[in-house]
Amino acid sequence: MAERPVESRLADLAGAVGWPPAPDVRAAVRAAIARRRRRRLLLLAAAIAAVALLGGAAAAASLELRGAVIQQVPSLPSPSPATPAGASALLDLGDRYPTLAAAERAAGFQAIVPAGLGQPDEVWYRLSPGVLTLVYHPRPGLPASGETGVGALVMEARATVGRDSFVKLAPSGSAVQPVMVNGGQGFWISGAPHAFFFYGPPGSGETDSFRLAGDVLIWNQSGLVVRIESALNEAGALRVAGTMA
Amino acid sequence: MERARRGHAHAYDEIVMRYTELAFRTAYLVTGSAADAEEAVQDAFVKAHRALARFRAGASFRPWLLRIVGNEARNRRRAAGRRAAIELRAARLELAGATADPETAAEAAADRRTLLAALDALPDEQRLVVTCRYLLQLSVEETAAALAIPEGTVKSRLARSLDRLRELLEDPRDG
Repeated sequence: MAERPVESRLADLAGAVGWPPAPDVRAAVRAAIARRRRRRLLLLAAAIAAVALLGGAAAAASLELRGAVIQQVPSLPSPSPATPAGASALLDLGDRYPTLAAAERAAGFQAIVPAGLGQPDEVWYRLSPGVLTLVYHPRPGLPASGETGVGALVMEARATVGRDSFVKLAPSGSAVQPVMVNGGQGFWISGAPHAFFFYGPPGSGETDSFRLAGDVLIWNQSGLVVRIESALNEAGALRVAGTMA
Repeated sequence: MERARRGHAHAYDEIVMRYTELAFRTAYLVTGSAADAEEAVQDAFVKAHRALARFRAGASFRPWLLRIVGNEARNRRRAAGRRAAIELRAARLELAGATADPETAAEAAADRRTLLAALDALPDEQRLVVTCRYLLQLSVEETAAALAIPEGTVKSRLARSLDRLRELLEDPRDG
C-alpha cells in the first residue's frame, strides 16, 4: 500500500473523505439579493427626485408623450441594475385575467390588439397606475427578449395629460429616436437597456417596479399610450405597431 | 447561465444549487470551519450575482465563481485569525473499502488516515494546493482562481508539496 505513488493514494482519498454536508443557501442568497434591490430602488427614487430638481438642465432632457416620460440621463443610478425576473408572472404586471374582455372591463378602456401578433397568450391588468398588458410568448419570428424572457409585451394605458403611467430613464448608451406611429408621436428607444418603471398613483410621487427594459417602441394612439417591448428591431416593431392602426 | 446573467431569478437559483457543494468544499478547505464556509459561500453567491453583468458569455464559470468564493473564505479566515485545519472525517474512510475483503479494507482505511495526517502536517499553502487539486479535483486554472495565485505557482507549489508529502509518508516523525 505504502509503495503506491502519492498521487494515486490522493486520488483514492478523494473518493473516501467525509466532507461536512453542504448547506442550502438558496433562500438566504435570494433574500440578500432582494434586500439589495430594495436599497437600489430607493437610490433610484432619490436620483429621480434629483433629476426633477435639475429641471431643464443640460444633464437631463425630457421627451414628452402623453402618459409617459422618457428622461435622458447621463447614466443609470446603479451601473448595472439587474432585471428582477423573467417570466411574465414576475414582471409585476398586476393581475392576470382569463380573457381580454375581462381585462378591458377592469381597465375601463378597449385595448388595441396588434393583428400582426394575433391574440395574446396572456392578458394582465395593473390597477395602479392602470396599465393593461398583452403578453406574447416566444415563437418563431418573435424571439424571447433578454430582459423580460417573453416574446413581446404590449402595454397600454390611458394617455391622460398630467398623469404619467410609465417613466423611462434612458442612459447615454441608449438611443431615443423620434418616430411617427400610426399618425401619433412616438419614440424608438434602443441600445443600452434603459430603466423602466410604473408610476405610482397620481400625486403620490411613488415609483415602483423598477426593472431594466430592452428595445421599446412607445407612442400615443387613440387616447392611449402604447409601448411594445420585444427583441424585434425598429422595423419589426414598427411593422407590428402598423397592424394596430 | 445567459438567463441568469440577464437577471432571471429562477435561473440564478439553479446556479446556486448546482455550485453550492463545490463552493462550500472550497471555502471549507480555506477556512477550516463549516460555519465560516457557509457564510463565505452565501456572500460569494450574492457578490457573484452583482457581478454577473461583467461575466463574459462563453467564459468558464467555475474559475470565475471560485475566485469570488476563495476571496470571501480568506477574508473570514483572516478575521478569525486561526489556522485552517482540514477536519475531513475519517468516518467514511472505511466505507469506500467495504466491498473488498475486511483485511484489505482495514489496510486501505489505515492508509487513508495516514495520508490525511500527512496532509494536515503540511504548511497551509502547500496543503491547500494539494487538497484543491486532488481532493476537490479542481483544474490548475480553478485552483489558481480559488487561491488567488498564478497558474505557474500552482504547478511549482504542487510539485514541492507532493515531494514534501512523500517525505512525510516515508517518515511520519519527520517534520
